[in-house]
Amino acid sequence: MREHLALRKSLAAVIALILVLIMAACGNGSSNPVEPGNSGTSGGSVSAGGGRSISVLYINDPQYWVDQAKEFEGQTGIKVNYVSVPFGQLHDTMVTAFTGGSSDYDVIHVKDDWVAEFASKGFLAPLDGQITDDMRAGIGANAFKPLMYDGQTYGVPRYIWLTQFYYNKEMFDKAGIVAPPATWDEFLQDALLLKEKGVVTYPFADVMTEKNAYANFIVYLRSRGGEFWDYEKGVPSFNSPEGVKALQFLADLNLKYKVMNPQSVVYEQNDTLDNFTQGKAAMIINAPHTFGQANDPKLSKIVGQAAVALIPGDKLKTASYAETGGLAIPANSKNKEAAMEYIRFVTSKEQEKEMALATGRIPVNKDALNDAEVQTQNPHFAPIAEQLQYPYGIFHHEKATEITDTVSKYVSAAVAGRETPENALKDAEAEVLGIIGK
Amino acid sequence: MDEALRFARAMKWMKKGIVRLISVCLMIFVMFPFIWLLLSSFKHPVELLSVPPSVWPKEFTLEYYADLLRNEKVVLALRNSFIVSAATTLISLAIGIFASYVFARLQFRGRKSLYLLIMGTQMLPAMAILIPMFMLMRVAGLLYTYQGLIVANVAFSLPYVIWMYAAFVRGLPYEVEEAARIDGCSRLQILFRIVVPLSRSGLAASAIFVFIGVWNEFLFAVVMTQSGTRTLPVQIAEFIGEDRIRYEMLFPASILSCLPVLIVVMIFQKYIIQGLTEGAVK
Amino acid sequence: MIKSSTRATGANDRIVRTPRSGLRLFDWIDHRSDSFTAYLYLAPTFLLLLLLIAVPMVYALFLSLVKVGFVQGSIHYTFAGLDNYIQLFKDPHFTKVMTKTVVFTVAKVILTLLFSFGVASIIYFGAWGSALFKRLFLLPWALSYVVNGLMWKWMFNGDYGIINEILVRLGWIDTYKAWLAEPNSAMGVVLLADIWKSMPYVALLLLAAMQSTMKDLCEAARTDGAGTLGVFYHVIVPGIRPVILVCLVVETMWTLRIFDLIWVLTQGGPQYGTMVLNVFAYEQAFRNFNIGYASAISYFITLLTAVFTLVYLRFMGKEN
Repeated sequence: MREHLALRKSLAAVIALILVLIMAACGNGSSNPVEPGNSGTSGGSVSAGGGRSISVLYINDPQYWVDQAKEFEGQTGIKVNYVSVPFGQLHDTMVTAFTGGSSDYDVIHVKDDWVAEFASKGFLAPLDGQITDDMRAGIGANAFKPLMYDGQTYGVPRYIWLTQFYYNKEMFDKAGIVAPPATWDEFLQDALLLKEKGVVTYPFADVMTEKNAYANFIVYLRSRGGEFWDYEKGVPSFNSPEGVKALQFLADLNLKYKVMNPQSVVYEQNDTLDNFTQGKAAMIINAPHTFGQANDPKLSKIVGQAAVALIPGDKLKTASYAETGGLAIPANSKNKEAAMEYIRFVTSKEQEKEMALATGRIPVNKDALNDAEVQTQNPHFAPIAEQLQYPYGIFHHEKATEITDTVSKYVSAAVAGRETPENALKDAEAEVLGIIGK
Repeated sequence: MDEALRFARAMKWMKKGIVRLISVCLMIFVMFPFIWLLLSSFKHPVELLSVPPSVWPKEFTLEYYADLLRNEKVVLALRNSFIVSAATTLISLAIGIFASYVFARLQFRGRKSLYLLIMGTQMLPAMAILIPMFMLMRVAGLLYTYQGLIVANVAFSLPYVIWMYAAFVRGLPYEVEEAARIDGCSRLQILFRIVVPLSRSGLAASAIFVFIGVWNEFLFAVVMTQSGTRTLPVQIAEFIGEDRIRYEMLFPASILSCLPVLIVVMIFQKYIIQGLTEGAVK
Repeated sequence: MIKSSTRATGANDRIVRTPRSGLRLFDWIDHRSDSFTAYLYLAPTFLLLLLLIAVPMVYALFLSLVKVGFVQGSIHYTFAGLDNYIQLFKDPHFTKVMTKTVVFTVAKVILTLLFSFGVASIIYFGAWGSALFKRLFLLPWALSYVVNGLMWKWMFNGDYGIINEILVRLGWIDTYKAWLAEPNSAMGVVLLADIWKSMPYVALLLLAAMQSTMKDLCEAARTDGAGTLGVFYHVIVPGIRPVILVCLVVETMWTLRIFDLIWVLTQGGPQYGTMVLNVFAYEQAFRNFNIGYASAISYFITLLTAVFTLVYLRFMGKEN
C-alpha cells in the first residue's frame, strides 16, 4: 500500500512537471522564431527594414554559414530564420517540402544536379530578371551555367566544390619522386614506386562507392578524351573506347597493380580524406577542404606534408569534376525580394572572400579568388585557374540521381572485379537508356 | 562404476562450462559495442582513427562533452526531446487506457475487426506516409510545432500501447471489478480506482516503451521540426557534416542522449519486468 | 487487501453519491451498454488514427494508383491503375530485392529470438553474471538507429575498426578486411547490428513470460527428475508459445520496415546485397522521385507483413 502511494505521488509529480514544461514550451513557441514564413502575409510587401523576414535552409557545419546569416541580419534588418538540417537530409527535406506544397523556405542551397531536378518540376523561381549586371560581372557568366536549366538561371553560384589532386610530399620524397605525376602513366609508375619502396601499402585511395563512383570515373573518362553524356542527343556517351579504357585503368589499379586501397569501393569522400590525413594514402582526388584538414594538427598526422597539383591527364592535359554550390529561391516563396537581397549579400565579393578564408571553399567571384590574402591562406587555390580551363562540369539531368546511382553501381562492380569494364559499361548504358525511356 | 561416475561428473562439468561460455559470449555481444562507444567518447579525433585502435584512451579528454553542454542548440534539443517524448507518453497513455480497457473487457460488435484495424495501421512503412503527413500538418498549421510532432508520435505509439496494455488488463482478475460493480461503482470509478492502480506496472512498461521510441524517432522529426523544435537525434545527425563526420562529437552526444533513457529505464525496470510478468502471457 | 478496501469505499460512495443534477449526463453516459461505452472510449483513439494515419494511408494508396508528375511546381496525377504494382514485378531487380528481403527478415527474426532467448535464460536461471546482466541488457535499446548504424560501421571499418583488430589478434583473419565491401559479409554486419538493437525488447518479453508461468512448473518438473534440457523442451517452450508468437509478429513488422540502419551502413549495397524492399522504396521516392512507384512498394510491404503474420498464426496456434 505504501509503495502504491509513493508511486502515485511520484506520478503526480512527474505529470505536474511535464505539464509545466509543455506550457512553457507552448508559451515559448509563439515568441520563438519557430514559426516559418507560411503565415500567408507576404513579407515582401512590407516596406524595407522592420518586419521583413526570410527562412534560409542549409547546414550549420562549418559554423560560418550561420554567422554569415547573422551578419546579414545586422546589416539589413531583415530577420533570418536560419534552418539547418543534417547534410545528409538536405535533399530529402526539400523534396518533402516541395512535394507537400510548402512555402516555408525563401532561400535554399542547390547544386547543379538539384537545379535540373527541381527546376524541371517547377519548384524553383527563375532569377534572370533579378540578377544584376554587377553580379554577373563579378561572378562571371561561365559560373552561372551549371545552375541553368532550359535556358533560364535558377541559382546564383557561391562556391565550386572542385576535385583536385592532393599528394603527400614527404612520402614522395621518401620514394625519390621529384614532381607530381602529370599523366596517368606517370601516376601509375609513382604509385608502384611508392608501394615497392614500402612507403605506404596502398598509395592511392578513391571514392568508388555504389552511389558516388561516377564522379571520379568522369574525371578519368574526360582526361582520356571521352565524355559522360551527349547533351545534344540527350543520351549517355560513357560507353565508349575511352570509357572502357578509363574503367580498365581503375580496375587495374585495384586488382592488377594493387596500388589502390581495395576498400575504395566503400569509401566516401570523407573516408579517402581520413586515409590521406592519417598517412595511409599518398595520393587522393578530393575536394578543397582536404588541405585545411590535412594541416589541422587536431585531425591530421601529416601536417605540412600535403601538396596539390593538377589532376593527371592523358589525351587532355587534365580534367576535373566540380559541383557548383549556389543559392536558389523556391517558386512558392512569399518573400522573394528579401531572399534576393540575401543572395546578393552572400555572393558579394567581400562575403565571398570571407567564405574562402573561413571555410576554404573556392569562391566563384574572381576578385575574391585572386585576392592575395585568400591565396596565401589557401595555397591549394594556386592551380585552380588552370584546372578550370579544362572540363569540370557536373553531370546534370532531370533524372540525374537515378542515372548516376545506376552508373556508379556498375563502375563500383568493375573496380571490385565482379564485372569486366566492357560489360559493366554496356549494361550501365542499357539500364540508363531504360531510365530515360530511349 | 567409478568410470561411470567420473564420466557423469565430467559431463556435468562440461555442461556447466558450455552454459557459462554461451553466457559470456552473449554478454560480450551485448555489452561490447556500448563499452567501445563509451571509451571512444573520451578520445581525440586522431586517436579515433589510429591503427591499431587503442583500447584505453591514451589522452583521456572531456573536452567534447564540455563542448556539447556549451552548445546551446544541443541543450535546446535535449529539452525539446524531453518535452516531445514526455508529452507523447502521457497523452498516448491517457487515450490508450480507455482503448485498452475496451479491448480487454468489453464485448461489442466489431471488436475483433476494430482491433485488427488498429494493428493494421502499423503495417505500412512509415516512409510512405511521410509526405501525406507533412501535407496534413501543413494544412492544420501544426508544422514545426511541438504539438504537431507530439500528435504524430501519439498516433504512431497508440497501437503499441493498446497492444501491450490491453494484455496487462486482460491479466487482471475479473472478480475484483465484478465485486466493485455490485457495490455500485461506476465504470469510470472501476477503471481509475481498480484497473489502473492494479495494472500500474503495465502502465510503466508501456510508458517506457513509448518514451524510448519517441526519444529515438528520426524520420518524422527531420521534416516536422525546425530550429526551435529540433529534437536530439536530428541534432546529433548534424555532426555528420559535408566535410567530415565529427566522430569526436557524435560519440559523446550519443552517450549523452542515452543517459536520460537509461535513468528512466533504471527507475522503472522493476515495473517493466513485474508488469510484463502479469500481462503479456495472457 | 485491496479487494476489501475498494469494496468498502465503493459502498460508502453509493450512500453519499445520490445523482446530482450536474452529474446527470455523466451518470447517464456511465450506465450505457457495453457497446455504447466501447465506442465512446474508443472514439479518441479512432479519431486520432483516422485523421493522422488512415487519411495519409488512403492518400498513399491513391498515390500507388497514379503516376505523379509536377507541372509548374504543383503536383499532378495521372491515373495508372495497377501499373505501379505491375512495374514492381517487372523490375529487373525485383527477384534480388525480394530474396534479400525474405532472407534478411527470416534470419533476423529467428536469430533475434534465439539470442534473446539466451539472454532471457541467463537471467532467468541466474547463470553466472546474471545480476550485472539484468541491469544492463536493455542498453542497446536506448541508442538511436542512426547512431547505432554509424557505430557498427565504424567498428567494422576496414582501416581502424576494432573488430578487425580483435579478429587479427585472435588469428582468425590475416589482415584487416573491408566487411561492407562484399555482399555476404555486409549482410552479416547489417544483421548483427539490427539484432543487437532489437534483442533487449524481445528478451524482456520472453523473460517476463518465463517468469510468470513457469516457475512452479519448472520446479515440479525438476522434482520429477527432468534435466535442464528436459525442462526447456517440455515446460518452457510450450509455455511461452503465445509470447513467442507476439515477438514474431512485431519483429517481422519492424524488420520489414527497417530503413535508417541499412541506409547508414550500406545504402543497400554492394550489388543489392542488403537491398531490402523498404530501402528500395526509399530510393524510388526520395532519390528517383518515383513517388507512385514507391507507394506501391510500400503497400506491397504491408501485404508481405500480413502474409508473414498469417503464416505464424497458422503454425503457432490460434491463441490470438
